[in-house]
Amino acid sequence: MHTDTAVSYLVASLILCPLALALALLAAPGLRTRNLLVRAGALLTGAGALACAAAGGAGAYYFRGEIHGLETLFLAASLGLAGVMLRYAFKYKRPLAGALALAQAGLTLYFDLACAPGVAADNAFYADKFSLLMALVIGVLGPLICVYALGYMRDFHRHYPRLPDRRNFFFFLLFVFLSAMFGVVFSNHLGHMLFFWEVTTVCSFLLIGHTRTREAVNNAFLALNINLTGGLAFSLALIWLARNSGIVELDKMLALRGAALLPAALLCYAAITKAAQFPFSSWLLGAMVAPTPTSALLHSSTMVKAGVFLVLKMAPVIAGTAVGNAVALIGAGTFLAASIVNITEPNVKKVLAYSTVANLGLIVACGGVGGPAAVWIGLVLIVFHAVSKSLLFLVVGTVENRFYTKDMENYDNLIVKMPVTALLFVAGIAGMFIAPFGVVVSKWAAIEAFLKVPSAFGAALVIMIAYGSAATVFYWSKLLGKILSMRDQPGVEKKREATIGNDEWTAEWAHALLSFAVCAGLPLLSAWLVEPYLLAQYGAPGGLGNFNYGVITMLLFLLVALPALAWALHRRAAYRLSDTYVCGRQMDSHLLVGGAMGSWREITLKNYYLDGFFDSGAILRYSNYFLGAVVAFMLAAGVIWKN
Amino acid sequence: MEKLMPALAYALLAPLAGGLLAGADRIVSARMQRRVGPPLLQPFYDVAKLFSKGDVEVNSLQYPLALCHLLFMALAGALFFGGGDILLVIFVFTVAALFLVAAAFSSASPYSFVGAERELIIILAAEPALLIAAAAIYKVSGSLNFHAVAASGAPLIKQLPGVFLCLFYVLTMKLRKSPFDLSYSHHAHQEIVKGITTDLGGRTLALIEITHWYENILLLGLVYLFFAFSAPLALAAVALTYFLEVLADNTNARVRWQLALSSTWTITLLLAGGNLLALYALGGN
Repeated sequence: MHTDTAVSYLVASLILCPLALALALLAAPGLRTRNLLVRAGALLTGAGALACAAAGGAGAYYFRGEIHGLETLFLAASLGLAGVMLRYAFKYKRPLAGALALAQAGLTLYFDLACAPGVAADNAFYADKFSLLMALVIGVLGPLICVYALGYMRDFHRHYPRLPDRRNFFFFLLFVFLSAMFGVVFSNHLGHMLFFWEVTTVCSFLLIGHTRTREAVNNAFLALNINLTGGLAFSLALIWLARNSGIVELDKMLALRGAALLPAALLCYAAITKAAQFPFSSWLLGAMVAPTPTSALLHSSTMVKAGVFLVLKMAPVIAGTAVGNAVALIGAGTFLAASIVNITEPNVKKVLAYSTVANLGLIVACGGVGGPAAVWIGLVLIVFHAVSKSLLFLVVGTVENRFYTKDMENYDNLIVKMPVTALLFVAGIAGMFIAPFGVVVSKWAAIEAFLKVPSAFGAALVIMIAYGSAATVFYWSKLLGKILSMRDQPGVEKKREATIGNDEWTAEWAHALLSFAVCAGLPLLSAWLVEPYLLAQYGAPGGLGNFNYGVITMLLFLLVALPALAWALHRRAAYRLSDTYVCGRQMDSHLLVGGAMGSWREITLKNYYLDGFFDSGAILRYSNYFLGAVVAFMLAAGVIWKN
Repeated sequence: MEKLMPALAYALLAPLAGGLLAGADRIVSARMQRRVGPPLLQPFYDVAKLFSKGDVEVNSLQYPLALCHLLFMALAGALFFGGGDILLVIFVFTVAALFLVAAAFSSASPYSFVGAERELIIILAAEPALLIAAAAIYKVSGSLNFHAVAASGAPLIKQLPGVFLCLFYVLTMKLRKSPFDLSYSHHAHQEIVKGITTDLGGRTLALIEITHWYENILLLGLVYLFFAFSAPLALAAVALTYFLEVLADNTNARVRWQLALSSTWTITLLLAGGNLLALYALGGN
């Protein structure tokens, strides 16, 4: 069989198999069938994504996708999707969501009936190295999260017995989501991509509203409304392209370069809403009400990553224009503001969320700046961030299901209470901000790449990243400190980890190993999937150079080996354990202090949030105003700017 | 090989140089206070004595974390003098500092805890200045390798006076001098004396002292870079910088962390950030 035939079959099966599994899960009669289907489906999807990435040779593949009735099928499915949205908008009396869904359906009909018939589309689907990289992220992390969800949802429903158990529907949505994500990254026909784009919007809407509490419903509609405005912008871009340039395909649009600036600006708007950049970040923060596997999925391999994928795809068109600079400013501004706001945030899930927003900001900034060096960073940061953030959500979910708290202050002593989980937690946090793990490597490369921008604008971006990076160190370190603080209380129950099931352990350990592997294997990953894409797009590979790869690998090895060795040697050493020092007061390591009249009081230690120093409300408000104005400027520049 | 030799030299000699510097620091400080001061080698005697103490620890994590603090600080310096990317050096330098913070967090003592939080504030305050300084060095000299920058002959100090002044301000924090010795003050009049090392004693504390020597030499290396076009001038500049830091230490009371943070961030933005942006306006490079 020809390679491209093989790749085309693999791409088709990556989109269709999760969909088939999802339908099977909807009908699954019992717990055992469901468990079996999810585990088997996870294995299949992962294997498919790996095979697809391995089968892809040097170049990009384009497939005609000539299937009779395909267009009609997509149209029918789009209208069905609009129907679903309308039904929920009616049920919960949300006129705005209903209006947006109707507008979306109207634009889709207009495009399909009035614009599309006159336009010839050559290749419906494609697979280049970037899509394959995305497919790996979606196909490896997504299924692991689904497997984790088996254990998580069991504990979740045990703790909330009054919630209706709609787990079949929940798992159905997870797999539909994966299928749609594969659709987004493999669609060359922008109309198809829009359909898959809208499917991810609707899936995340339904997942956020899973528990159907008032808060969940409100936040689900917030996410729906914001993402639907992105969908509308996407539709307008599509119609503009079909009417003015007579094209509906991504590759042809990118070939237009500057002539496609307006649709590119519209697509960037859609991408920025989906990637939860300021001023649109509120929906991702609101999504925290959903069960934790949903967050893991939205933040790592799906949803927000579709947004940054699209921005990076647009890079060749927008780089060096006012639109590109506006996009870069939105990204860097979001990185800075979200990082500083995070210092004042005690809710661990929100800390993770703002950190996602910030990291996506860095990727968006790279897309806006463009060029091989910056886009290289965007691509590898997608991978690094996905692995570490997913690991963090899984671990937080496990802790949450045992202590029922999201407050960072209650993570005291985790190293004693749940040592293995704490270790995995530390691995996840290390991946986010400790050199030489990937996210830091990306910041490092970003500073050097932005300095190569010929104007002072690059330096301004660097200054924003320097401040944001400092804030990042602060908020991660204090969480790390909480986890590592040891209070050897006698009453602590140490058997909590025994209640963690195999599904959760498997997913968490796989993530931890992956976060190490993607970093140690960075030169290989870069040479395999990232550099060929950049060479094809820009004629230069990007990357860090062999000396730096060597230093990174050495540091990574030392970072794991030295603490482990120091700890192992110290375990055998003889030393006397003493109580902590409190200026001569009576105190023991249980944090009890001798008070008056023979009483004993417990000390509580709370982190600094600097909330008297940083007014997070004001920072959020003004950065939303400012970046909102930049978004308006970006769209205006798309209309006005001429090359 | 030419990369390995300076790195090795740093790993072996920096504690010696740093210890002597600490001894000189104490004599100069004493003279400023009209005292005679200890012998030059006193820091070495102190550390030797700390090593001879019995091992008393409050938990099983502190010693390994303190050891990693030492090793990663030495590694950061070795990378710096060995010609590694200065931005990466700053990141590894931060990792080293974090091991100390983690060691302090792991103890239950409120003093230790407050010390750890304050050390984090120092990192928060200083990191933008360090990163922007590296960016500015790269912009001017086209490299972030210590030896390449030195060999380029670029008079960094002439093009980056604002960055240097800002770095001087931030060094006060990193060298743990007043008015910014929030977490590690050695002055008896402070409300928390060496909060971060409250629960570290004996050989664990000895490791922290040696790390501090490594740290100081690395930071002065950064100062050297600004004058590297002339080695004698650079050494004189390093000596003068350190003297001024000691002077500041002896003439200032500690400030609150709010002022430390806000003043550093403002100065970094105005001096270092402004200097970096001015490079473009003046068409330098």
